[in-house]
Amino acid sequence: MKIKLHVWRQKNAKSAGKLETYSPSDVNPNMSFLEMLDVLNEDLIKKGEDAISFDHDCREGICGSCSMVINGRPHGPSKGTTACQLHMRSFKEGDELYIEPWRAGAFPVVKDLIVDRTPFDRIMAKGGFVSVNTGSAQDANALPISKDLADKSFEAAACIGCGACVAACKNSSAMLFVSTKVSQLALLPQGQPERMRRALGMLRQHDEEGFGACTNTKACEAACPKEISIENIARLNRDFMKATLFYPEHETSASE
Amino acid sequence: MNSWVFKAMKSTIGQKWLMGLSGLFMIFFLLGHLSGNMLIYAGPEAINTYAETLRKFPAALWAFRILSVVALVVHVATAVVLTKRNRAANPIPYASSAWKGSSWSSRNMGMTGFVILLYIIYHLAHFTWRLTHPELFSELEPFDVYQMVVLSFQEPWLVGLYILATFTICLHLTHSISSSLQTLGINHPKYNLAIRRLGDFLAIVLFLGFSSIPVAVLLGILS
Amino acid sequence: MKLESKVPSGPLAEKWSKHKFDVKLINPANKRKYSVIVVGTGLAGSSAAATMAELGYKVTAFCYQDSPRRAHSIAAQGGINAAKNYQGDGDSVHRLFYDTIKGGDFRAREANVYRLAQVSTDIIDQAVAQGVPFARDYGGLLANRSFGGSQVSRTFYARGQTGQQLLLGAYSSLSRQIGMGTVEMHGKTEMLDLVIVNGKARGIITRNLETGEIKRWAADAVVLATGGYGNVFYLSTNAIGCNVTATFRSYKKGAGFANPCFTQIHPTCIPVSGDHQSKLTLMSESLRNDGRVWAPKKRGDKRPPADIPEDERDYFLEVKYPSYGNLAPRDIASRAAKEVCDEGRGVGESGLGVYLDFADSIKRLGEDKVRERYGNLFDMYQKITDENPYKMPMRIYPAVHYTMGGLWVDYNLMSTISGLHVIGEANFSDHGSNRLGASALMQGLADGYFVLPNTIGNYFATAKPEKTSIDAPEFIQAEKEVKERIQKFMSINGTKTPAEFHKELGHIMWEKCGMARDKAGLESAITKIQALKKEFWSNLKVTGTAEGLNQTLERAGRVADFLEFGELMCRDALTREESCGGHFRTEHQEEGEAKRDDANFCHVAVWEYQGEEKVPLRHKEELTFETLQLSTRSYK
Ligand SMILES: Cc1cc2nc3c(=O)[nH]c(=O)nc-3n(C[C@H](O)[C@H](O)[C@H](O)COP(=O)(O)OP(=O)(O)OC[C@H]3O[C@@H](n4cnc5c(N)ncnc54)[C@H](O)[C@@H]3O)c2cc1C
Ligand code: HEM
Ligand code: HEM
Ligand code: SF4
Ligand code: F3S
Ligand code: FES
Repeated sequence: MKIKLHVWRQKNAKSAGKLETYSPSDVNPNMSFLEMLDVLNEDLIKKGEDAISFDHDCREGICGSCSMVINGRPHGPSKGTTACQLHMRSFKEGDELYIEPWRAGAFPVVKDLIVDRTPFDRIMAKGGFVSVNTGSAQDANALPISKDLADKSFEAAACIGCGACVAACKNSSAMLFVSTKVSQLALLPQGQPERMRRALGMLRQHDEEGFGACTNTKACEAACPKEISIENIARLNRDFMKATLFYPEHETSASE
Repeated sequence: MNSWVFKAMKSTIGQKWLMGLSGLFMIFFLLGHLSGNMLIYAGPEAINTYAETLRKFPAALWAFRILSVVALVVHVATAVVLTKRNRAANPIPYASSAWKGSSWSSRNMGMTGFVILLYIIYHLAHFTWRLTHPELFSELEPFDVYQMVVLSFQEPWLVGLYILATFTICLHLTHSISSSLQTLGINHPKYNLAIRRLGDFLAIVLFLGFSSIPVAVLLGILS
Repeated sequence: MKLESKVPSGPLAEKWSKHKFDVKLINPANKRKYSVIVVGTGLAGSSAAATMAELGYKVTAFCYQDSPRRAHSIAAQGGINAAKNYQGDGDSVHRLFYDTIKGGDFRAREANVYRLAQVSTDIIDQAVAQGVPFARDYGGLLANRSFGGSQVSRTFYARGQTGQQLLLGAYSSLSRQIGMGTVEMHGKTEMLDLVIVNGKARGIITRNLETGEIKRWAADAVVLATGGYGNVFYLSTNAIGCNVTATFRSYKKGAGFANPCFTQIHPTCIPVSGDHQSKLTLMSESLRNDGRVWAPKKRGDKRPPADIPEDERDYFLEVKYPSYGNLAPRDIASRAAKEVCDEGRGVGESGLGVYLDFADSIKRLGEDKVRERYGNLFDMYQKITDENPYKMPMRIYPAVHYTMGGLWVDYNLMSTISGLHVIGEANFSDHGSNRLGASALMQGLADGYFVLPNTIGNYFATAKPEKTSIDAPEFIQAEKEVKERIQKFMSINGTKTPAEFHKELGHIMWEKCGMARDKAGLESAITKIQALKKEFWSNLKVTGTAEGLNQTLERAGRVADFLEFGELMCRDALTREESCGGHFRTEHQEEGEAKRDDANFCHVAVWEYQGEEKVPLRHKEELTFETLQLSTRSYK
């Protein structure tokens, strides 16, 4: 099948970028979206041009590396699917596709379709953990946890840190991402001792990184490849205010 | 001021709470206002007495007015701050965008909010300060709200303006009722649909209720 | 090359605790004075970096992805083993030890494996304390499933995303340390060489993948946790970026490479769909708990599976291995599938596939229960193949999945280079010639959380590394070589892309050094690889610049190492004249089953680099079995 691509090309963070048009030949419907780009890249290299840079690694929807907006939709048109799991059979002959990087002030473009997502790591370092040194744990079954809670916690923990939520959000808010970690641990007994501190620390870093506020537009939920619910954002909203109003003394940086 | 208060007000979630709480307050105001206004269908007597009675408790009235002004100011201020913050967070638009999953009204709250603000100013100038139609109101008794309303809405353009404004409020509220609850942390899969329906229902009731008055006047049902 | 395993004396069960007592300790105040470089922050690297930082060491960690959370460990699906015996079904440390040695076809070191089984239980405790949401029963206790090669239920899991949840747990511990400033983390940074000063590993040379900057780093010890080299086959279930560079560069600097030919082919992967294929997707082994593997009895039977009646189906694993059935170990199940396809009974367009059928389980348990257990795997299958596995059987075929070989390490996890420690899949590990399912996560975390942090202190206390700096001549020289190599890649300006070379190499490896190997094939592979390598260095094309981000250049560097490494693998396969575990030499079989040669090959083969174009030296670490009896593996 034949398609037309408009791909964002940008040399580095400092230079200006623009959309370039490509018409890859021989697109096979069984190819994954990234394999289609691979084939295009092979052509480009052979022509002496710089290949299109895009983040990818596992190619099975779990590492969260791949990150591109396809026709205005982060990870493309299929629900609950990362770009690497998207297959060309989701498109039709003659389709015209716009491929752009995640757009957010906090995620500056590094090159072409690759953006800098290290703000997520810095948010994690501000409380996305249970402080338990190796070797100090009790027996795993000493603490029964209801299956419902464990399952709910798992659903929040399924976040792959891809950043599609930010890319989809008109405010470039990373609230869905932050809420997954806060929720995962807030739902489990292990997470309770640091629950307030975690919500405060992670949210403060979120704001500091320049992500916007959540105005509950829910685009993130629709774009999230793991279909994570904004129910988690509500939990974050709750925990953060509870911490602010009643436990301001938990405001300590992670470096203690 | 305690530094934590200040910090809370600087945080995205703190600002959203302020906005949500002030918005919710205004929704209650609107529901109250609407109930009061509905008395107009019970005849001049009813609504005029109601207006007069309110004035008999100036302390309560002023307390309420101040609260309303505070709510509006807080709401508008947080709206401005957050909107600026959110625009700054997302400086580059997509060449092709498909806002899947989000509703039109949720994406245009700033715009609808701004229209509402203009409307409120106009509306205050109209009925509370009585600046817009001095020729019409100069003869009226101070509490003849009924006549004030009936005389105003003889003009079709003003009726149009009120309908448009109340419709804008309706758009604003279809998102904001469920949204403010989400902001306050109220979200449960079991009740979300019900909350959303209730939000839409209230928004529509407010729209129909408010806009029915000018329409009724124009159609001669109220005269 | 001296291969001292340093296994402590004493009864097997007490070796580890005795060793922990015997090793020299470093007092907490002094730990701050020692610095460690950790390359790779997958399960093994993250857990090691976090734990060492908790202990007080100064840690600098590197990975090539932007974040530790994206390491390939994230993709592990099925689960992690531990000898908890929560199910009361007769499991014990000894049984896990026994299963692992036997599963590995008696090619692993007893003492290491026993220790692995011992610490396995601590891993689960640690993970749960971190908030890893493992599956639970209604009573609130942890649930287990069974995996291939074992008759007990000892596998802990978090739906089909166990690796993800465990890695996120380790990453969260690492994040905590990063937040506290005890670990300095460098993402998008690739190690390109190891630096040795006075015979000790003292640092690395890296390339910043975003800026292209080449940098020198010095420390008192270096830890490699860079994962496996399955991508030498081009197509594998590994992530695209998985590579052999760090371990191979270290091999070239003198570290012994053990058993490179021991690779694991996983029986249940989604078959190749075309030439464009860039990687293969695993369907977790756990599916074999409830899925039945079969192929048509008739050759070339192209009927849709539903139209093939029961009596014309060959449930070949259940027939051949009645006691383990569909849960036969990986190497055995893979080979059985290959045989069926070689006989012309394969299914799917290419004929390279067999069915994994859930119809019976869906009937027995209901679709909901099956969905709850494997929902995400079924979804993944459907996304890739466009077929609904709830309605028709999956098509599966073996694919390269894991590499048991790796840098040789002693009981302390130190390689033949003093100060260079190797953990996780990157070392030659505890799995012998075949790894059992759900044991890699266990080993990576055992190494990282519980073994290395205990043994590295002993290294510092005994070796007392002297002062060095990144301005030492060894560092300057290594940096210069790295830069020249990159310059070379950029300047060849031939006609073939790195990916093309990689694909060709992969093809040779899969054909000649894959599921079945023989002398003639391996010899021809070596010649072919040598020719391909020559062509690579004269006809490679890399566009873009050496400065800044350049994924073509990254690929070129990795392929260059795979090319040389592929040859080493073939050499290892050629000299190991027996069949064991994942290594199957067609010359050595008995009634279709692998035939081990314990008299001549009950050893670890360790290769020592001798220089460009020279044949490397093969050393042996003899394996002795004091507790277990060498026996023929039987899963019948
Ligand atoms: C699809 C799949 C499913 C699996 N399922 C299971 C399972 O269910 N149970 C089980 O026990 N095992 C499973 N395994 C095996 C297991 O996941 C791996 O063996 C294990 O996770 C390896 O962990 P690691 O920490 O050693 O390496 P990895 O997780 O591969 O980490 C390697 C690290 O090294 C870094 N790195 C590599 N090269 C360089 C370099 N040159 N410079 C700098 N950094 C570098 C990477 O960035 C990364 O951080 C599975 C494997 C696959 C492929
Ligand atoms: C009677 C008048 C108004 C009512 C009842 C009202 C109500 C609300 C409510 C309940 C919310 C939801 C808050 C949340 O999500 O937490 C909201 C949001 C908002 N309002 Fe208003 N509002 C009114 C007027 C205004 C005015 C005058 C402005 C602007 C100048 C405005 C701008 C906004 C904005 C920008 C939002 C944020 C929307 C978002 O979350 O995306 N509103 N409003
Ligand atoms: C179309 C229907 C409406 C009618 C007929 C109407 C009528 C009135 C009248 C008559 C008054 C003056 C009362 C008095 O001075 O005693 C008034 C006040 C006011 N109205 Fe409305 N109104 C309508 C809709 C709205 C809406 C939609 C809003 C909000 C956005 C609003 C906000 C106000 C406010 C803030 C006051 C001032 C209250 C005070 O003085 O304390 N009104 N309205
Ligand atoms: S919440 Fe969803 S969209 Fe956001 S980072 Fe996590 S997985 Fe990606
Ligand atoms: S899209 Fe953005 S506005 Fe909130 S609900 Fe999601 S973060
Ligand atoms: S490449 Fe890993 S999620 Fe897409």
